[in-house]
Parts: sequence; C-alpha cells; structure tokens
Amino acid sequence: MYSAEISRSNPSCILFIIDQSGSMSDPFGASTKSESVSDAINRLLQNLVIKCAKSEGIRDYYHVGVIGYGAGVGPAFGGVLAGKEVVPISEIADNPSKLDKRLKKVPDGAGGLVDQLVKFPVWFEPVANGGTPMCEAMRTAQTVLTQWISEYTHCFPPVVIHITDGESTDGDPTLEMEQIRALSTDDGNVLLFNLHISDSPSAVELRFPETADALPDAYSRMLYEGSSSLTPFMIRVANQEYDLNLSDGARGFVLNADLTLVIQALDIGTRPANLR
Amino acid sequence: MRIESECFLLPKAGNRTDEYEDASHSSTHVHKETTCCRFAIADGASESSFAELWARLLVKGYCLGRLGDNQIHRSVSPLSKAWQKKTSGKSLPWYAQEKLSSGAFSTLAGITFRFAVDAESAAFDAIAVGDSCIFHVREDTMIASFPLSTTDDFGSRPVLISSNAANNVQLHAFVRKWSGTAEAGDEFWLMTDALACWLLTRYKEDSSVISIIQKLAGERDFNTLVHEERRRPHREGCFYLRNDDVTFIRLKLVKGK
Repeated sequence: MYSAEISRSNPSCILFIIDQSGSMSDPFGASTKSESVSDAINRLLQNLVIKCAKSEGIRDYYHVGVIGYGAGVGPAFGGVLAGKEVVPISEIADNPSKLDKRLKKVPDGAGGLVDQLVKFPVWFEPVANGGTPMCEAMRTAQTVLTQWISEYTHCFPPVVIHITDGESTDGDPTLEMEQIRALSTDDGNVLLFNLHISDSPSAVELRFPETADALPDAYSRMLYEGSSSLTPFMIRVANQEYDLNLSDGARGFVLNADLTLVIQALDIGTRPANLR
Repeated sequence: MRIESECFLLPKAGNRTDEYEDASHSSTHVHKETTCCRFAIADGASESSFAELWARLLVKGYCLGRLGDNQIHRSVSPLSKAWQKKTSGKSLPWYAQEKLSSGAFSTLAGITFRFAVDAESAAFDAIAVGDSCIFHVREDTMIASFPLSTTDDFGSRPVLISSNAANNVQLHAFVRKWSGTAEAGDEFWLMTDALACWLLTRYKEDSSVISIIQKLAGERDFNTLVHEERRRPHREGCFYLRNDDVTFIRLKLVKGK
C-alpha cells in the first residue's frame, strides 16, 4: 500500500479544504486566523509547485484542488482557475494572483544562514465570511475525490489537507471525514490530514501526536480523530529529515504548526537529504 | 592487462530520452609504463533541476582526475562554477528560479585502475557519494559491494553532491572510499541505484543472476532484461526493478594488450 509510483502518467491528487468562515477573522498571534490559513495554503502550494519543477518546466505529478467553505462551499481559486475543481499542478504554478517578495533564510555555505529575497507566490488572500459548513465541505470533497478516483484507480491515493479552526456550524463532521478516509484507490485509502488553528489559551504547537491527551479542546480532538495515520514512508521522512521521533501511531494532525512535511514526504523520486 | 568496457543505459519508463538524468564517462591515460583507466557514473536527483548537466560535469570531472582527492567538497567548486555559468542568464518563471537557487544534486561513483601493460593484476581505488554502486565480481561470485551492501541501505534520501556549495558543508562525511587489487578475469559493475538495488535483491535470492548479467550480449539484451524486471512483481505491490533511470558500466580485466 502507498507504494504506487507518482508520475505524469500515474499522477496523484492533493485536495485542500480551507475554512474561510467568519470566525477566521479572530485575532491569532500577530495577525488573524484567516491570514494564517492563506499563508499556510500559499506555502503548501508553493512547496508542491517547486517539488514538481524541472529544468524544462513543471511536471504534472499532481492534480490539485482547493475547496473553500464559509459564506459558500466550492472551488476557491480565483482568476483563470475560478470554478475549477481539480487542475494539473502546472496550471497552478503559472497562475498565482500575484508574486510578493519575501526574505528567506538560506544556508551561507559556512554552517550559518543568510537572508535572501525570493518571490513568494500568492493564490489566496485572507477570507473570513459566513458560517462554517464543514460537513457540507467534506461532502463536496467526497464528490470531487470520488470522481478523480474513478479516473485514476491504480494511482497513489489522494491526499486531503484540511485547514480550519474547527468550529463547524452545520454539525459534527466526524462521519463525513470517515467517509472520505474510506475512499480508496488500488494503492490505499485516501489520506486526510488536519491542520487546526486554535486560539485556545492551552493550545501549544503540536505535530503528529499519537494520542489525543495533549489536545486543548473538543475541536482539536474531533480533528485528531478524523485524521489518517501517517504512512510508514512519511514517518521515516519525519524522523530522518525533521528530527521528529514519531512511531507507527502518529496521526496526520498538527495544531498551530506547519504541514509542509506532508508535501515533502510525498515520494516522486530522489530527494537529497541535503536539499533544504 | 587491458580493460574491456561496455555502457548500457535506459531512461525511466514513461520519460523521454532527453529526460534521462544519469551520466557516465570513462578515460584512459598512459604515463610511461603505467596505464590509468577511470570510469564513473552519476545519478542526478529527480527533485532538483538541471541535474543531468550536473551529473555529466561530475563524471567528466572524475575521469579527468579532478575529484579523487580527500577534499571532494572543495574540488567540486570549479564544476559548480561551470554549472552556474551554463544555467545562469536564463529568463525563468518564479518556480524555476527558486529551484535553480537550491542547486542541482547528484550521486557519484568512480573507480580508477592503474596497471602495467604486462601485469596480471591492477590496483584500484574508488570513491562514492550517494547510492550509485560498484560491484566486484570474480567468476560467479560477488566478492565486494561498494558503498552499499544490502537492499536496506537504499533509501530515496541520500546526501548528494550539490552544485550549490552551501549544501556541501557536510559532504566530506559522506564520501566513501575503497581500494584494492584486482586480478585478470575480474569484473567490476558500476550501477545507478535502482539497478544496484535490483542486483542485490536478486543475488540474495539466487546467485545465478551473476551469469545472467555476464551473458548480456548487448544493448538489446540489456533493454529486454530491464523491461522484464520492471514488470516482475516482488512484494507489497512493488516490482523487482524500481522504475528509474538505469545506467550500467560493465568492466572486465583481461590479460594481454
């Protein structure tokens, strides 16, 4: 399981589900939850695009979709991608809404880090509007995934990355998340990962826990329970490259933390250990 | 003594020939009574761009004798500059610029033989970075495997040589060296990772795989073998030969001129 080659002729699918509800306007750290969401999705898409970049351009190893939920539920891209459920990664690479400039820490060759100005693509601006129809969003995702799987039965199963503050207003999405995880290709079940943005006073940064013991509230526990286990390959990458100490029970759940590891742990060929 | 050599290669199934990112090279120099033969293979990392260019620079650098010393992380510097010169000045989209700034990455496995014309043995020394391998075969037995010796040693995240010097700070700790003496009749097989891992897997099950390789009569036989092994089910939905670029230099030390 989870061993199918990911290539242009055998692509996989990554579906993001992002919470754009009114509660995302709440302050969070130095900004708001919605800014955290847009920053997270832009960073994940950037990492995914760069992973697929080669000398001649982008190789379409992935089909990617983003479902937003708040005032409505549906495909969240704007511009030329508006209304599209799932598109090849090359279309996303070529159509950010703008390119910001940011400072990035890069190795200086002497064991330290220096700031380098890099282009940072932006596809999503912060949005906070309406209720939190999480159940409906999960059902929409299920429809999109079912369609994709019917066309790519032999491929590496889709990865779903859900970013939210967890406060569903249309019921408990536990069943809907279970139904997503039950979908499968010949190579395994759909992998559902949750990134919980929580302003609970007791919420600390937490990555891939093996139990719900340290979680701050019912929202966290619901999202933790709804998350798939990391695959053995992902656990190996987490331990070897990110200096984590995960065991087999690690869940694809993070609290106020970065999920980029999940993108880097998708295997499309040799990734050097000294590539950072 | 002389060395017979053949090189076989195939791109990953589904990729075009121009997307092949391995490289190979050889050279022969005669100085007074001593012949020096060098052979090298390299495997450009899929998750970097312009990796094929970097792999080619490394194998040529090795065969020109520029990478065999103790300071490989320093001696790659001129090659890095050559890579940067060839890749700079292009107008690239944002993602290609970002990828380019990380540099290209590649394995390297190189072996150098030194021998007199009338000798019956040859001294050799080899270096390797990453998971490209060299096997020493005598008759029907694999007597040495360098730098990896079991299938468990293969992962897809090795430390590799980067065209960006900033990524080579720890490289010296990952350079493997090997030296010894070879006899006339010995064979040395240089293989990039997928093929090397396949050989160790098959050899563990049945050592007759050695004779299968020895009997390969040419490119057509090699291609047939690769296609078959890429489709031969192994375990857990995997195949014996992982789908990847494959490169194989087959060397045989032979008596006489």
